[in-house]
Amino acid sequence: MGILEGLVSGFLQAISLAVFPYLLIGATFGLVIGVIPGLSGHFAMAMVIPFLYSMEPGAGVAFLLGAHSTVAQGGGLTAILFSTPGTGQNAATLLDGVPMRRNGEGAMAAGAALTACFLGATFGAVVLALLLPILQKVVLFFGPSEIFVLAFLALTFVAVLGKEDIVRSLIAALLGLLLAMVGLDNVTNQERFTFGLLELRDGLELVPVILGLFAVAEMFELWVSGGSLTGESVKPMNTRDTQRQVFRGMLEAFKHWWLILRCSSIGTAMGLIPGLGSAPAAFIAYGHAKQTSKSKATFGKGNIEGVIGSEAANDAVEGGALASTVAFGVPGSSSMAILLGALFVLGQETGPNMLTYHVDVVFIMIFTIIIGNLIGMLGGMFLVNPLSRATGLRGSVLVPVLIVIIFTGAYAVHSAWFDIFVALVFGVIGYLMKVLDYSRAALLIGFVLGFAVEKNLYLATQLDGPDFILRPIPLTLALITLAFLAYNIWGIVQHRREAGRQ
Amino acid sequence: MNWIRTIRPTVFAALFFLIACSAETGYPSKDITVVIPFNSGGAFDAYVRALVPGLEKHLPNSINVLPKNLPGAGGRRGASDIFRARADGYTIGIFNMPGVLIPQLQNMPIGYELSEVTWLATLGYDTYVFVVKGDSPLGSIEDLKGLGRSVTYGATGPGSTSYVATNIVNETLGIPFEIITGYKGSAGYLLGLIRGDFDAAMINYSTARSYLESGDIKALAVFGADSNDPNIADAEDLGAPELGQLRVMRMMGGPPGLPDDIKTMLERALLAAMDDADFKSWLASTGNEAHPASAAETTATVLEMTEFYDRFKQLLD
Repeated sequence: MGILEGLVSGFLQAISLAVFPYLLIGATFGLVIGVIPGLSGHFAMAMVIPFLYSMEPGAGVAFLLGAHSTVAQGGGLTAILFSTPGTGQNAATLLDGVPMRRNGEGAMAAGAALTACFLGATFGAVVLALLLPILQKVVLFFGPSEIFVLAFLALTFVAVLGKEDIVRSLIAALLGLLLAMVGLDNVTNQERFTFGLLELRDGLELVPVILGLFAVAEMFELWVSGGSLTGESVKPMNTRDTQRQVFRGMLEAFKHWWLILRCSSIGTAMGLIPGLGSAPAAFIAYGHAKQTSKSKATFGKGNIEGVIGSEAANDAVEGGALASTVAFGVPGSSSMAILLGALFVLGQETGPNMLTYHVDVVFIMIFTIIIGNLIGMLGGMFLVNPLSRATGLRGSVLVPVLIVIIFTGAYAVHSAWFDIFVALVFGVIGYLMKVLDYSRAALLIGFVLGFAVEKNLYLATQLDGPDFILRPIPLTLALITLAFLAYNIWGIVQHRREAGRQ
Repeated sequence: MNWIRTIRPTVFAALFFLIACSAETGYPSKDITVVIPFNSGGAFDAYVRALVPGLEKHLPNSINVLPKNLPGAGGRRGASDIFRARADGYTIGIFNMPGVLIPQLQNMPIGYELSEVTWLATLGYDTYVFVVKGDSPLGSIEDLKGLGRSVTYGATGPGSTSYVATNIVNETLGIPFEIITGYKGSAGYLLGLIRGDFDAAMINYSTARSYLESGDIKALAVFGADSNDPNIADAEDLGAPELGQLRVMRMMGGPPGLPDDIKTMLERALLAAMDDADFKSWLASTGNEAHPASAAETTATVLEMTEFYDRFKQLLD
């Protein structure tokens, strides 16, 4: 099947009566799951899998990916309105989304987030479609040495995120790197920092760690500070004003198209490289948005650019992550691992078979991401109003309910009691970090990328010896990293000097 | 609250009746959990879930069969959960052999003993293919020996099934070799092979199939099945028939000491479910295969595999 033929067939199937209803149900389901804190894309997909046995491949793919594609949109709403990320990816949205809500611009932030998600997802999906003819070559391009250098480049973004207090950020990032070392070293097969616990053998699970650091910690804070999420200063808005704000937010997102384009590229690239994961992508995009913004000082105090940047990257990741999943069956993110399993159930073989004979299925995926996010954006608009009413509830009512849901989410990933404990411990750590002003984003980036850096460094040295870094592509990438790092350090020095003068 | 008081005896009577009924009809009187020691998605999960409707149909008392994913520690977490469950037939599960066997032979702390598991049936197996890159000048196992240097292989981690299989094949055939470890999953090192990171790999057939068809990789040998392609050697052709034991098995089992009547009922239901039209049509539509085997055969295979891997004990890590 040719690519153009696949495109037409994929599109016609996606909007056909046999597929579209499933896409609609899936997308709505995903949006709701996303809104519930702690329940992530994995959960939505795992819930859908049992239904797939009796479905046609096209409908199954649309149902599954539809449910997955809107989760981040729902999660963004929860991040902005309830200070807890609906899914792990939305943690970066907290940085500016929450201050915007406190300033009475919550609905605007929500509108901007929904639109940025849709535009980002569309960008990622279009890039995937454009790469299709050379998809295998693109994925093969990233060997262990290339991934090592790129992961290292992503790690240097810690410097951008924590410019104000570089020492504290470094401490947080190094703690993250240390936590990444927990578990089985898959090169030497040695257990590290597991204290003999079978539960720690696979390392700390990402979802409970993120839930603890961001969601549980916020719950602690709300509990300690008392009051409600909106604070006393902001009066609840009527429906019309809320809806008007949502539209203003959407308009703002379109006005920042250039920022969305750049942040979506970051997201797509990070999705494309297996092992970098989707959680740091939003933070790195946030860092980029902050670095290139004209009003850097207002970041973290309610700048809409921070919300737009991180949410655009969030959903752009999936287009990239699909690339290596479809081309070689190597999942680009943890959700993609579930997609891969579901494709097995549907009898769809990834790899050359899919790219040669079932390219229409790939296009169903692409159109599902785009249409699903469009449904998510429109559906999300109507959720903002009822949800923002709930934010007026007292903390003493809201916290117990949300805590139960969050811990359920932590448990649901692997049906492991231990993960609830992990979420609780990281909740305490996250709360302390917040109070003492350490960057939780830096810790998360260190934690996720630490593993990718170490593993690929190991593989690269096994394959090419210690001089692997001197080969042309890794060397070029390494020089870019150094230049980037130097630029940032120069920026920090500059910043200090200015601060000293005042 | 008068009405509650009025209906209370009726409710009690109804409950008593229900309990009495279920006690009378015997096993199974409640839902049966099937533990899958891997994440949802993936071959083990898919086989079990495809089998569930048939199992429900062929077990009496119209109870539900509930798949439960307990991933972690390479299948060891789920295996020890099945092993420690009460031997009442309400918890059974699927085992990855030799995935869970290797840590047992390495005397790791695992929380199960495979010789004591009540084996119920085998769903099927996956064969190992010895593969090189599609455009590789290497055309046979003999070519590898004549390379004049160590052959490099990719694998996941020491002690993993792919690592152990690579070790056993090369030691048995006398090929000098080196294994590069650290790839994630079989798809991970398959990608490394196509990229040209190393010379060759041992990979399960279901992962390799579509890449073999597309010519990205080519098979030099197959283990665990007879080859009918003159260009692909099998264990017999290589003069090492014992290597035919290299397979990945999908076996169903329950905790030690499962009563015989329950065991027989579950075995029959499993075999009947694999013979069910629904399961077969799923296999046909997805291009998967089942190779059913009875409880007795499964127990014998477990013994055989344990002896086989025990002989190569020093090669396990």
